[in-house]
Amino acid sequence: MKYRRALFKKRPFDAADNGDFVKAVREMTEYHVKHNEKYAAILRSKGFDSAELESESDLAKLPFIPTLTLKKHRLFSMPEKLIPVKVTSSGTSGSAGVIGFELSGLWQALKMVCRIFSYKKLFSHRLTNYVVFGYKPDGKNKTAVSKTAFGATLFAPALKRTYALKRVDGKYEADLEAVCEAVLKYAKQKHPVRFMGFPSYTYFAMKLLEQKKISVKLPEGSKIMLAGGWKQYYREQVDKTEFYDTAKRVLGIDDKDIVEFFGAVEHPIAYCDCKNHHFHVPSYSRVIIRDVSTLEPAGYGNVGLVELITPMIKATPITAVMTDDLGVLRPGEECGCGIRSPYLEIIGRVGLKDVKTCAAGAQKLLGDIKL
Amino acid sequence: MILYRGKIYETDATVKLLDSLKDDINETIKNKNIDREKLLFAANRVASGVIDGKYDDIIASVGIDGAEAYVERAVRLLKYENAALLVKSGLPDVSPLPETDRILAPVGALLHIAAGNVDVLPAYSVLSGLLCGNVNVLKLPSQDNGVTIRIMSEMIEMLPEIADFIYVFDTPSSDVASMLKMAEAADRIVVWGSDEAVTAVRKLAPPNVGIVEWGHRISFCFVGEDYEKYPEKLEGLAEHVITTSQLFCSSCQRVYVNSPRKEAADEFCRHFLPFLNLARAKHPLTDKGAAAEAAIRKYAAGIEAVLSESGASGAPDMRYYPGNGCALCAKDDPELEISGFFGNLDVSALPVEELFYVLRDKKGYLQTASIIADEETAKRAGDVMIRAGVTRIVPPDKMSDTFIAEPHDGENELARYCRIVSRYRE
Repeated sequence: MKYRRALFKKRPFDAADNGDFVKAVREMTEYHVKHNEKYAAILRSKGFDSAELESESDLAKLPFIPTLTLKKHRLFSMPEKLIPVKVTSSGTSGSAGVIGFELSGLWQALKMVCRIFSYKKLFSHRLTNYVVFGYKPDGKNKTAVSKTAFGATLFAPALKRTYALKRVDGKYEADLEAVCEAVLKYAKQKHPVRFMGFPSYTYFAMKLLEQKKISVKLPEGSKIMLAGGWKQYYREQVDKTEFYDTAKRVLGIDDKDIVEFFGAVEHPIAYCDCKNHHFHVPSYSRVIIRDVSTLEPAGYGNVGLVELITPMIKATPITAVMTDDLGVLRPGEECGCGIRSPYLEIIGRVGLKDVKTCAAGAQKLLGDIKL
Repeated sequence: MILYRGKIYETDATVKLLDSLKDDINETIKNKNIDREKLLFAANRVASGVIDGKYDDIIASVGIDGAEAYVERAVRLLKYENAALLVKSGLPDVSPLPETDRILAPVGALLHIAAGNVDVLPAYSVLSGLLCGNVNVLKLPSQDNGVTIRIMSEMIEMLPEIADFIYVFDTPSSDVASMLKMAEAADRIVVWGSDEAVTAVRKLAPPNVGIVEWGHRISFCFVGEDYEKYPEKLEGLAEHVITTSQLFCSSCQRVYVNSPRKEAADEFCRHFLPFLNLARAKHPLTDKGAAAEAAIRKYAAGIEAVLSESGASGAPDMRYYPGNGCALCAKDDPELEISGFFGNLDVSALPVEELFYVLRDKKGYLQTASIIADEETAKRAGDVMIRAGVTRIVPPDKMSDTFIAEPHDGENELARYCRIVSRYRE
């Protein structure tokens, strides 16, 4: 896996690629074909040979795996006993897929996260209070969101962690009152505060504070770090400007201190927004927007299905996955932040805006694809 | 938004209004009646308004593919003569018995919980309740886009005396305390929705409040081995599959081919795919999200077939036939279940002798069936379907059509919203 190692040594937005990404994808594809008969059968059925991967434009030829398939099948490329970490992809609704990660893949992931966090200057030696808008780790929740939200509290030493979602009678419930109390308490201290996790709950908590006519100025260095999307609260989703204005008004946090991440268990690359709040494609990943009808590459500026490619993981053939997202890819130069790689805008999810059906059993089926 | 006795309130008035709901309902039940004739005329005026374009903005806001067809059907049902026929055929017979007179009375108050599967469903449910003279409390579905309150307000404007019979709340289902107050004020709860919705209402309902369940249903088509003789019917089936996106209770989810040979399903797929392609070419998906979902499901179905052939899912049990914006999948397992929606249809071989047992596994869920076969096979299959629990047998192109005054899921809907009071003659 020398090409994978070389790729994950790169800086997050390294303009010089020299074909390294394609070589690593080819290397990983060959590995999966050799070790995963199911995956090999899929590639054969599409008439694909990994030898076809010679340039960036060839990446579109690599057959992708839909997340729908990953939720139905365990497509591991190594014996399960050699897979130390298995993560479910959904913690909110619908069925959950299991993605396995081997140690060497996790090592690449750690290097990537460290590089991206360094780039965004998110490491700190200052003691920090955390408000985690996610699940309190209790050993029963195996979702990626719960693991990553906790993991992200390790980048600045934690003084205290307050969790917005708590397990009550086997279910997770939002405890926003506890968050409000924590914010009031932390605001009186000199330590910075970091908010981590779902943007929906972060926003709901800020609005609750506002309803209580509470506004604070949190200590300098405080940040809001968002990940996980609005999920089942997509109807309440507000635009970014409203979110940033509320954060400034209620918590005294500027938009430059609000960092948003985008990623998926099926594509464990940390996309981090730039100063203009755009998700540029990092060196370790590629995005192909595909036409919603023909599934052919749609190019820049066209809305389509978002396919994500990375040669990070050996345990599961998630080199090329088709997400349930609709998005647009734009040239990096259009952003103006200085990063040259293209940036991805997620604009929605597949399906009718609000699929309405009275067919028996449909909820289960739709749950397979709607997160 | 809330509609309470003809007035619009913001959501934050919920608690205050719910505090007076029971008393207001009781006051209406005790003192007021609905003039059914006037109501039918009001419905007729709504139908005329639709034809005249008065509600074009509402219809446009619904934003669904093929909205014209739904509107046309709704207009047909709202016309005076058709709605009157529904009342006549749907209300129970109350002619006198030897010792007693029978009086038709409303149940009292109905709480409608509509799960948002069809845009006009909540309004339709309330209208049915009004036709029987009931007070109607409606919990709006979370997906409601404002259409329901617009329709209800229009009805009240035309017939102000029904204002006290309509109470519409936008309370989320998660607000159990408010839901319970609505349930306690009602005599019967009318629930439309999935198994999950029905189960939740069963848990919520107080013991002295009855439940009318209009749950989700599943539908299918049965074809004889001589299906090649009926190209018009195959064309009609393809049109139905494509134009409904298979989202309705009455949408075809599986085609059964009358044969014990598994490969009969593959033969049908090869024959039927051109019909499906043609229908898709005539009715392309205009919604990008829907088109994307159709494309992913089609692609994923192809992978499923590959995994099946490679032994990944056990024995090879499905074969995939992709089309343009649609697909067919030959499945060995005949279990009646949802297919992939948006023009992705499953096909299984199933001899008529075994049809009964496959259908009985879905008792309580069966709704519409269509048959494409010679007369003798059609009669035999139809008998089996009726015995197994099917409630509608219609031509393949009309599976999702609504017929004037037809029963709902095998029952007279209006009868569920009424009481028959027996009064002994002294």
